[in-house]
Amino acid sequence: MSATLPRIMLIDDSKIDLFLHEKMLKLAGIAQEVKSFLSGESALAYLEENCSSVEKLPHVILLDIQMPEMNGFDFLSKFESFPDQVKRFCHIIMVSSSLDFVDLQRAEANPRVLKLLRKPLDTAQLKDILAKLSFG
Amino acid sequence: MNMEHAPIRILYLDDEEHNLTAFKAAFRRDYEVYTVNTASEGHRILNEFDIQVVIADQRMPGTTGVEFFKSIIPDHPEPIRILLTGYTDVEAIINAINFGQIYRYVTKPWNELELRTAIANAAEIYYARKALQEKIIELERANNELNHFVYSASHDVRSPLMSILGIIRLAQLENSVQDPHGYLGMIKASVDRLDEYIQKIIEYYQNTRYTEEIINIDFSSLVEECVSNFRNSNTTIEFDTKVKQQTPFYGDGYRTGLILNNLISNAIKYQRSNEPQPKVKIDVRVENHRALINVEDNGIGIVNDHLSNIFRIFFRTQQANKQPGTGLGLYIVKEALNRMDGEIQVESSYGKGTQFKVSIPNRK
Repeated sequence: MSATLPRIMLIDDSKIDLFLHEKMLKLAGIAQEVKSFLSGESALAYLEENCSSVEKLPHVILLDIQMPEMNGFDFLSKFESFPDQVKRFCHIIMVSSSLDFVDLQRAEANPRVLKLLRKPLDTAQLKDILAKLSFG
Repeated sequence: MNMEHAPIRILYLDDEEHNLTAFKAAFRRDYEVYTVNTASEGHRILNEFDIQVVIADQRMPGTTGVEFFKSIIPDHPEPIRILLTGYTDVEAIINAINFGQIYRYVTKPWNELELRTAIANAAEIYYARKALQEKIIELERANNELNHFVYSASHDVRSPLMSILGIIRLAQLENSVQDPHGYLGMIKASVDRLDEYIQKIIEYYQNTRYTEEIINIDFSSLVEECVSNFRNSNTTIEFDTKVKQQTPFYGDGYRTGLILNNLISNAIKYQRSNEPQPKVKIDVRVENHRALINVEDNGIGIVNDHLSNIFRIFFRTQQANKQPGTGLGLYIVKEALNRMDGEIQVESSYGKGTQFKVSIPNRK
């Protein structure tokens, strides 16, 4: 059962939530490495820079929905233009406190989104989802 | 004449110069009068001034009054139109109503009192319509603001609350806060309660605003989805779900979920604290014309006197050792069912449990 743990990228405009999620992931011991980004723009820049070095790409991206300027859905549409191998490599899970019906439907309808998790993050739930994926 | 408004501006089109002069002489003290003897002049005045009432003679060389009205409607629909015409001109009157969309016709030669009344009434209509239009714009703006407000409540207000819950969760996981009196638990209970209010307000609003979207509903997965939301945080409760669906069911997906969620959440919330085996039973049967949903619990039950009130907005009861509810949940359920032409019945025996029976029409 000691399969490789994923590298996880966190994108959230709330510093507190980033801190919380990072801590929780570490406590739960479900990540090999956690990289936090305060905006979709900075996360995209990182992905672009490391497009061809697989060992630096995150296996899982935890993506917040509402963020100023570039929100989670804007991030997703930008992410679409990445090479196929990057898109296949990075699994996207949205994390939000939104109860807005339209947001929930949009997240559910997007084929790129594996799952929408509610805040506060439940690491047990996340663990269940990650258990179904394999990370090389 | 309505004194609140700026002077009423009248445009009068007639090819006979002495009519124009007589009109001006009769009305110029009370109104701002513009007289013209050609249609093109009339257009020019309309483009230049904010006219409230347009009067035109029917019989003119070149163009008729009705044709003139018809030509100004696309660009200037607001001014109220009055046609001057002879007694016998029935066809003109019919056309004037159908094509010129006139407010009134006045027979020629006009009598000053009649025309004065017609103008005063026309002006009032003009202002009433204008006020209505302004109200519509105002309402639309208020609606949009409300939309934004609720969206922001659903995120901006909830988001820091969820951070608080996250911090409490982390503190408990790490065991990093000395808390001999259980203050963290109290903070969590208070935040949960505040969040429940926010959620109910959002649900109430979404239920009143969303136009229904009929989808094919698979009750097995809908019930499972609803129950799974509650299962993790209520491990002592035994959920017994039974779904019998052999025919497709079409209905409002959002509201059906809303109803299930509220009923299940109530069944959980109103359990007796000393019940050794708290149970929530959900039973769904889909028939050709309707879906029957039963949600049953073995909780505290409802006093007979209260049964007729539980669907009223902000109705709450005081329970020992229980936080009172928001007074919104069952009201939202009832409202959602009203919009779906559904029904709800409740049976309860105090101290033993409650059963809600919902029927929703199948819209296939």
